[in-house]
Amino acid sequence: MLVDFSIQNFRSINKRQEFSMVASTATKEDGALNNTYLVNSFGVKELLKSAAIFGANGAGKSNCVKALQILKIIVLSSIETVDNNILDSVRPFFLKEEPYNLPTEFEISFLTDGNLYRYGLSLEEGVIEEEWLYWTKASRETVLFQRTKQNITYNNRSFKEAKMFVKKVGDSLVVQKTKPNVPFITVLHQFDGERSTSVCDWFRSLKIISGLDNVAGANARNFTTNLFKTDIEFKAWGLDILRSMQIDDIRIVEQDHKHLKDKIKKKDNETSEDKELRETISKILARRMKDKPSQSIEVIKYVDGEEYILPLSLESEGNQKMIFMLGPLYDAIKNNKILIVDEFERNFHTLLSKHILSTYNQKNFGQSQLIITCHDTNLLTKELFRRDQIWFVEKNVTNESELYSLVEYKEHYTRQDQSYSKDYLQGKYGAVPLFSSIEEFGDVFDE
Amino acid sequence: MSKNRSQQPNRKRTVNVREERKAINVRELLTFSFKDFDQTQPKKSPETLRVWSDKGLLPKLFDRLMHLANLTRSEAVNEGQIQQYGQFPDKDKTEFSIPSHVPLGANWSVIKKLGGKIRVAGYLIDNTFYIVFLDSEHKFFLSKLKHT
Repeated sequence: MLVDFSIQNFRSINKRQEFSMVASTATKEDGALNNTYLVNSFGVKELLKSAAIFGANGAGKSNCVKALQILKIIVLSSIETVDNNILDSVRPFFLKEEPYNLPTEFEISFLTDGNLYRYGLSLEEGVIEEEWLYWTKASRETVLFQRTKQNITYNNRSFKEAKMFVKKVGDSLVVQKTKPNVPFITVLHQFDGERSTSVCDWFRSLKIISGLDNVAGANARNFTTNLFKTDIEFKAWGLDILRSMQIDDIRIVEQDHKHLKDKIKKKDNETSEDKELRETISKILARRMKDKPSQSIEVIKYVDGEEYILPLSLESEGNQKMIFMLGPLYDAIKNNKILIVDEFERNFHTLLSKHILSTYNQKNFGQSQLIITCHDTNLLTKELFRRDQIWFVEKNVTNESELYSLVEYKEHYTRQDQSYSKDYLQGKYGAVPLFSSIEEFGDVFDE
Repeated sequence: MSKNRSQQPNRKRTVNVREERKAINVRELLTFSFKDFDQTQPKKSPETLRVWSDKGLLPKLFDRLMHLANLTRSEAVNEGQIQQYGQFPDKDKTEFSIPSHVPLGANWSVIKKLGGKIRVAGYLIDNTFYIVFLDSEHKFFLSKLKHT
């Protein structure tokens, strides 16, 4: 489970910003929400099941998600892409005189395999300046390793897996088989180190969806399609939700691209030009078909007792997104993963968003977590979230993104109504689009 | 020079440190609701609209409400026209009790400046004052007698 995450000098974030999934002990509003997990160890009483990050367009919500995404990629994929340095794609905050005056840093704490880990990376000019891993077994935190450039110190007792990968040079220990742009944890994991595998497996359990048109989106689409085909339990669970969208059943159809090949069969009296053309077209088709999914979803609806089968492409974008999100959502709940969805409510009706979030909070008894970014202020309500689950991102006067929670605000009086959205839209918590006047905004269009 | 990473983080959430910001271009005036109005208290001599009419207090009440309706909540509080108690007064300090239809945790407050000891009690949510009791004898929040 994610405990907290901090980011420094990354894209729109300059000074260190912290995001926490620790439940506030001062909050008395849990009531019937059932939005927390009891931990009662490592100095953490409860963790939140979900959190929502709100903010204006361009405030930096997606950059918080990107920070988690890039950290995951660095930890899991640095070795696979040694020729293409992933760290070169890590952009600092540019709107200052010296963008590299602070290192780009990520630090993350999480619970896995019964321990609390704290892992961090400090990056400068495409190399790892520092890397550290601490763990807590009971209450006291202990270092497992601390790397500064290629020098390292490590815990002989609790982190024996490092022994084979360090060498004494003079008075110092130096990491071995580890490039300056590759995390030490990644290298150790390749050799099945016990703790490093725990850490990397946790990163693997972190699922991030930011749009369905990119690689992660394609993975989510394929994953869901496959689950509908192979997992009866998932299908029953998914259809329960889809029935409220008037979808009665889902059918998976294998795509047969053979008919296209048949159309370019060799002719009896083929000339050399025909042959060249046929071979070229075959190659193009083969390349294009490679990227096409081999199976697709069809939607079944019953109207007046008649069955209608429709391709998914005829459904609204919202329904398509909902269907493709079902797989990762189910996987997160069932396998205790962490699902992060950027622009969660895009294409969703408010009531559908509310239904998904409240179903998630109520039905999720395991250790999964859901973190979303969104604009829909109708979701700013006590029906769904405690105050410590609500986060805002706002650009300050120097254009840096700042991250803070609603629970940081003083409550001046008891709010009996269910919604925070009115106060949010009035700017009481910041993180709203700044129009100095609506007339000024209208003038732009009148000119 | 690398930082000291060994300090165990304090994971306690920061709470109640930020002041709400000034609302953007909004001056929301006070409004009044009678949905929780209770004319059955105090039990010994319930204060009803008829009682207030007989005492000639209704014109005063309407004058006050009309005046307050031109103020925002914070203006009314700052000018001392509304006093916020938060909690309902303790049993030994009041002759009233919380009606079951009033939500728990309400921000109990009184409208003052109706002349002498006259009060109207109720609770505030945002810019709405929910009128619950009429209190011409100052029995909602009993105070010690002065000069005794």
